[in-house]
Amino acid sequence: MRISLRNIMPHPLAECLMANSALWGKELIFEPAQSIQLVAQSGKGKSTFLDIIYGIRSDYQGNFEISGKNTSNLSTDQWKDLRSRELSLLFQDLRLFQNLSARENLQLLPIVDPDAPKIGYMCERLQVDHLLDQPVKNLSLGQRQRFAIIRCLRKPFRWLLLDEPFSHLDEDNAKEAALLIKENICSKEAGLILTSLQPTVLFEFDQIIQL
Amino acid sequence: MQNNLNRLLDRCLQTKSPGKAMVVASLGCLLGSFLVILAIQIYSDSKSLLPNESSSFVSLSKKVKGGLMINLSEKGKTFSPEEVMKIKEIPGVIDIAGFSRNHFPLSINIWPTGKIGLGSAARADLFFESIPDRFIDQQSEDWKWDQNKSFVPIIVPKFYLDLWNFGLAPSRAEYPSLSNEAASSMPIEIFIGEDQKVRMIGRFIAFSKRINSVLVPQNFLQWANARFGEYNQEKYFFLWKNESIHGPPVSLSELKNIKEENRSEIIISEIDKPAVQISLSSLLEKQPDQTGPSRLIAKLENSAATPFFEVIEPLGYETSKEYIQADWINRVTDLLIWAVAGLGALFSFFSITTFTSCFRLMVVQSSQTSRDLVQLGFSLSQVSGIFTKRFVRIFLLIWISAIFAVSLCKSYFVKLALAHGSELASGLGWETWAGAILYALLFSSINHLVIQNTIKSCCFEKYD
Repeated sequence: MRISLRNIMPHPLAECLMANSALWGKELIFEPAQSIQLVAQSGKGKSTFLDIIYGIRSDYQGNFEISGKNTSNLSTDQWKDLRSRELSLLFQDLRLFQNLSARENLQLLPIVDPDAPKIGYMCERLQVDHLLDQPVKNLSLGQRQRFAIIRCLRKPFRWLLLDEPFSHLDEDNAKEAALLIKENICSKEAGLILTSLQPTVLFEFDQIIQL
Repeated sequence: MQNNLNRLLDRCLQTKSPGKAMVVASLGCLLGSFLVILAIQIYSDSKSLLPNESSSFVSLSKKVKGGLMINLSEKGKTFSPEEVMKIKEIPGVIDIAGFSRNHFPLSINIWPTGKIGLGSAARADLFFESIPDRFIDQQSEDWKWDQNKSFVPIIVPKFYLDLWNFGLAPSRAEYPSLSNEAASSMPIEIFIGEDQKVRMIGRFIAFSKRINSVLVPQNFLQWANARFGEYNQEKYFFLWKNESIHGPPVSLSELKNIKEENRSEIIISEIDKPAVQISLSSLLEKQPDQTGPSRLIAKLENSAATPFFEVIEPLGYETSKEYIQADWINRVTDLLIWAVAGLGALFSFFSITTFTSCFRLMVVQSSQTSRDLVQLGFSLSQVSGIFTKRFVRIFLLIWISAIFAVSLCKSYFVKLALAHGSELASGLGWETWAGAILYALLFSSINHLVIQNTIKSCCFEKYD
């Protein structure tokens, strides 16, 4: 699934982002199974970029195509299919449901990838298996972030979009999480777009875009 | 798996429902649903109880004036073919026919116990009339008559039965109140002739709400008049000249052939009463005119009823207007039904707006969760389905309660109708079920649409 962006410029950021951006207003093509890192300070539009690719923002100008199809012509249902089958996004604010347990959050998915590793296995890898039945509201940010990563990996996807995925993790947990992510991406032959404040050495990226 | 997912979605979207508003909406919805469904039931019941025809039936006769002595000599006030034709030509008259009547003395014994000779019989002098079958509202296989039939079918006005049930029966211990079925199974002895020599058995086969008369089949009346009609039998008279009988007895038909100008001079007497001598003109005046009916029944277009009376009344005819009143009752009933339905619709409208406000509030309260679910890949219909299910659960309870309340009312109507001598089918009619289901679908669809649109606006308002 090829992603191509031409002269994309989000409306709210148009004036301040226009100048000297390696992303906004440029032509970018992401081939299937590529790994891309977006490095930028806060407020440069990293999350906005992922939101546009994930189809939850349409307030931009320019041309955005997925597999050669102009996304501005996609219906709500087509976007729903893309989000449930082709794209998986780790939100920066995690978007876990506070009144459900961690296990229930991992179960609450429109479609679960049958080839994804089991919940127990992934939780054990990220050392949160003992917290599965805890309400999410009782968990720390780091614990929540790990569960949010696992939820993303349980969905079927051809592109994994991670918005500052290790912002609340210590080095060891970040390494283990990155390893689990890499295994999943490799097995699915999926692409990765990862945003962060600083360059990370946990992945070998095909392309690094500095904003 | 799917159940678990729905359960999780339901838990995820749990919000505090606006309690008081929801109670008000539920009560409004219950009242509205009840009134709308009740209106449909009353409508269908009223159609079965009240005459519902595109045409009205009116009976016409010539006005009876004066006292006893005058009217004894005016028995033959009949409609001539010209008069009938003139009435038929009045705009709005669809059909017209005359009533035929019996020309023989007639009395009956009604045996309310169901068996002749058992208990007391109600005795009465009576008359029979007949009209063409196309004017009769109560016809069945029993109505057909031939000489081999074991009984004479009789149709009497419905109010005769009411008079029996509410007048005669309560005042006389020996006469029980009668349902339609019981009254139909009573044997009726019919005695024909002054000396009651001819005895036949009759039976009420129906009770008419249209015709104010005691009806028998036309072919029976023709047969009975031909056989027992006193004026149809050839009578012979003595002719008197110079106070002595002149020549052999002369038949009535021969006397009718005598020119009118000579009739007053001719004196006659019946053969067995030679002392009673009268002029031929007096005799023929007392004979009923067999050529025309004394009463007519006309079928009118409903819309033409008022203009018809404006034309007919100046001609000096008596008309029975009760059917027009029935039409008026129909209109008033329709008005009441529409009023109840309108009130129900108004309550329903307000309850819809209150319900939608409640659910909109609930959706807005969980708008962030709804948005997260949609962004996770759930469809709008999956998310809105959770709220719609909650609404349907409440509405179904209300709808069943409304149906139950209308069923109770219907049972009361059935008892009420029975007490007033009418019959209503028990249970709710198919129109009521169809209307109630349609109402439920409409009400649910509106609420579902509002919920779906609210979720859509909540999930996409931020960026679109």
